[in-house]
Amino acid sequence: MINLIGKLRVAPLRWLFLAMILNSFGLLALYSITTHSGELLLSSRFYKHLFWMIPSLFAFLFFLGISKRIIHKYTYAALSVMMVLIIVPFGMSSIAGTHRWISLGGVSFQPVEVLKWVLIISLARYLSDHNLEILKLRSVVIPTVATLVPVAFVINQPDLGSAVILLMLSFPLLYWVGARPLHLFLLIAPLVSILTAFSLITFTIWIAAVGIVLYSSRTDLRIGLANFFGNVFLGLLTPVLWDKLFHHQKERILTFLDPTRDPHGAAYQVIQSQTAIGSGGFSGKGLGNGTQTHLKFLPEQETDFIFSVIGEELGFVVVCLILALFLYLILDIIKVAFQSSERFSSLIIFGVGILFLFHVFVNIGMTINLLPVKGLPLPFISYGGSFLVSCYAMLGLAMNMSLEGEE
Amino acid sequence: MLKSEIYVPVNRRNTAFSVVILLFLILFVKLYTLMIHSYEEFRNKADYNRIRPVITYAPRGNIYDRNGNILAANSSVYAISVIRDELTDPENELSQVSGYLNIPVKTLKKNMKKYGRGRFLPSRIARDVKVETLSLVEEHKNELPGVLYSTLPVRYYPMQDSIRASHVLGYLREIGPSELSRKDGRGYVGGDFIGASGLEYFYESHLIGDKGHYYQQVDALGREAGEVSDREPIPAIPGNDLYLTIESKLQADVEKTLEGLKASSVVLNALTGEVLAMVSKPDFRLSDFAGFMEDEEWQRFQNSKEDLLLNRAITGRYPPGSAMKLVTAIAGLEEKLTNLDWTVECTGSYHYGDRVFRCWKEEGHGKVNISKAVKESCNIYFYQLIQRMDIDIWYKYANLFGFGSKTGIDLPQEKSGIAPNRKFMNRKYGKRGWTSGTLLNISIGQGDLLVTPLQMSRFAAILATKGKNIAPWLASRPNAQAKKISFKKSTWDLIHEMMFNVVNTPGGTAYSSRIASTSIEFYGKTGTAQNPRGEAHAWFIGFATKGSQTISISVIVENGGTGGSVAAPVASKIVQNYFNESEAQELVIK
Repeated sequence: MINLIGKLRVAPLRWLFLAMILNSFGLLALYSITTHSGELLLSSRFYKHLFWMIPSLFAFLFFLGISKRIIHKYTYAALSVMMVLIIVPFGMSSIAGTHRWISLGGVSFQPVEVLKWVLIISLARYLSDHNLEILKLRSVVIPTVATLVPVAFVINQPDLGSAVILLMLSFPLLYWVGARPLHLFLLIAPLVSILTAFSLITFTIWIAAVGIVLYSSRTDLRIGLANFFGNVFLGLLTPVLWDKLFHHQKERILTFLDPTRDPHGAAYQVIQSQTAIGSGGFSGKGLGNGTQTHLKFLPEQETDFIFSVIGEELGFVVVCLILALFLYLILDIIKVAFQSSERFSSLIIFGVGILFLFHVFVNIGMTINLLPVKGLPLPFISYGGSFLVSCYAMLGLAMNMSLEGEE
Repeated sequence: MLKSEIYVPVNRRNTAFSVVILLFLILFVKLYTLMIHSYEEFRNKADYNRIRPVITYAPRGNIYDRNGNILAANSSVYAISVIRDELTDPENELSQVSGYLNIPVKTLKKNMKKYGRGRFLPSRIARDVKVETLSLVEEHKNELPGVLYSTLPVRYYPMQDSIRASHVLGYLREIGPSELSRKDGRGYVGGDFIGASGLEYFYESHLIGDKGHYYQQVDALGREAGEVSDREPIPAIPGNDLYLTIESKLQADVEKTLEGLKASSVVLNALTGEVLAMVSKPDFRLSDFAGFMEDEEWQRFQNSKEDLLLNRAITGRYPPGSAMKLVTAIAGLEEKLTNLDWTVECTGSYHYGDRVFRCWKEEGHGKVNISKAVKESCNIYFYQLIQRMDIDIWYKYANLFGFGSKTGIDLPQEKSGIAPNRKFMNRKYGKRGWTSGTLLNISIGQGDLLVTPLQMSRFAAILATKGKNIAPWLASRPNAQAKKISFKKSTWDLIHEMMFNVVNTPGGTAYSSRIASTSIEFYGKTGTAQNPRGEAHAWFIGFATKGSQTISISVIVENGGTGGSVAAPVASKIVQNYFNESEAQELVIK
């Protein structure tokens, strides 16, 4: 306890203040959404969200206070537990057609939210334990492949947004720790090969680029050739496999990749979200006056599209303010990660910053039709207990890691 | 383990910073585009989402007679609607409403589908609901959630008990799907009533008015959600009124006189072409059409044996019979083919080629000149007269009086009738298929000749004014100047004299219908038109003057018998009543 108070004295508490300001914008939006003709029920999501701040602050303090050594020691155990928890919902009845939630005594939470930062810690540990081998391809491949296992389950929940986040986490961390760009390139190459395979010209250009990169990097001949022909083969195989699929299977995959293909579902949502934000204009329609919000044109307004509510009711000024707060928070986190001399800590701080960045960019990008992916909440603002607790936990974790020379 | 250190080069940090800033910049630019640059567009989109215009119906223009009496006006009827989503127990509620309305549930459901505009919007299931029925629904309001009522403007006919004028005014029908698509963009919506016949049809665009709108806020599901305060409603603009030339008292009198007959009569102000009365019997109550009509009932109207919906005055095509002898007489006089001195011996029959043509008077009229021939309507005289001319001459005069072409009255579906000319005869019978013998029938108004009662009244008006050919009209005066038909004065004078004698001298075919009052001068000609459908049609055409007024009249009673005994008395009565009624008042010339 003494330890925690000591930590609070030196930790970058500005992060907590930023988080709470953002949090209050979320509460403001929820207050507007859930107030009906002047009445705000105690069971409303406004109060629920307010209530969730209590466990959130506990989680924050817990991960701030806990010793780094313990975190390091139990990392893989925690990852194993989270892997199990990811699978548990598949054994339970689905909620809203998905297997994202674990329900216990009326409280439900999404294990994937916790998995995200547990994975960051795990990657950090792996990369710091293998610090001398980072220039080898093997140390790049193993964490990436290990990530694919939980990703496979998350995709099937289905939660594409979180799956993409999990998948993408390892690349910035690898970059941060100094992996060779060539190796990162080779990791991403197969995915690009599959995507470009449908156009002969782009595929040819892409394969040529792969060849040039491999040649100019003077990599080992066998590895170089294997990579080159592996990509060529993948590219040639993809259209063949694609043609073997039935129409409805193709449609399902395409809709999965681009939800706006379904005009009644995601396309409608995105149009209404854009309309809400755009019609907010410079100063917004005023709290409680958003027609898109209150006449229910805007879907998922408490969670995925809460940013649209703020845009509609509070306008461009407040939207810019929120962007600025997030930008400052993320840049500051990266700066602190840069200053940290411990590999494990620096990776975790950086990873948390990147995780916030992903969520902010993907969520806001979705509300303004920049990105097709859906289902990622906005940190500190979107309604949702496990996510809010996770965000504060990550913040505590990052602050904890920012403290030097404890052990 | 924790001892492992890290050295992150500055450029790596800066790359990370740059990527973060770039991503935020992208968000900022896109948000700026949406919220500042395209603000108007999205503001409108949001309004379009939430604001639904609700129609306010424009009342149709009123229709007045020449004295300002309202013939067709508007009242409101109640309509009952349901909001499908708000019905808690649709089956039960519908059957309850069905009981009050006395309309089968099946029909209500059919209407619900027909007028349905979505689960959350009211769909009309019944209209023309009586106030008593409405109060039943109102009493049981609590048991009938989702059932509501509204008002609709509807035609009503305040003078209907004395004046029907059904064919002149015309009826309304609910607009059909094909009309709706044809009139797309002219503001019609399903369930609207549209003029389907008569003046209501002809002056539809004049009478219809413009619908208005008020604005209602709706939520994403289309349910009403409060007022829209920032938009002014657009008020409905009532349709324009229509002022007719009809003289209500006369119209009522003619309708009463012809009641029970299959008959038609048209009375014109001979000086102006104004239609003072136009009657076609049998007729119907327009109010029967003002509301929603079941298809079966509509079929019953349309397929009635008596052609209820047919305006005989303009669409009935009849052989004119002897009334047409006036045309032959005028042709003869004008072409100098006859005069008062030229006589014919009528023995009751006339041999032409191998055929025998008969006069209506079996024993014959003896020696007849043109005066006696018209007055007593001798066929034989005209058989012989027509042989002095050819079809071209005869047609020239028939054509001058407008036979074979429409009068151009402001009513739909007017028929032109047939005035046969050489071309017509050649086409119908072949060039050698007809001889001048065929003309014998035409000379006495039989054969291929077909006319409408309106044409006959207009003919009488031209005769009355000695050549002033004015197009008859009901609501808008024709632009075209009246064509003057210039004949010799002696011709006009003789025609007047002969028509006067038909009514006013013993032996005239309409002598029994003479008018005792000396202030009224009554002229006419009877006709008894043979036709293939039984008894002859009884015709009378003529004109009457009193003071400065001159009216023309045509009367036909289908299969009524002889013109002298059936049609002439009717015309005489109408004329007397009219002048007696308007004893003191002069006709207001519009």
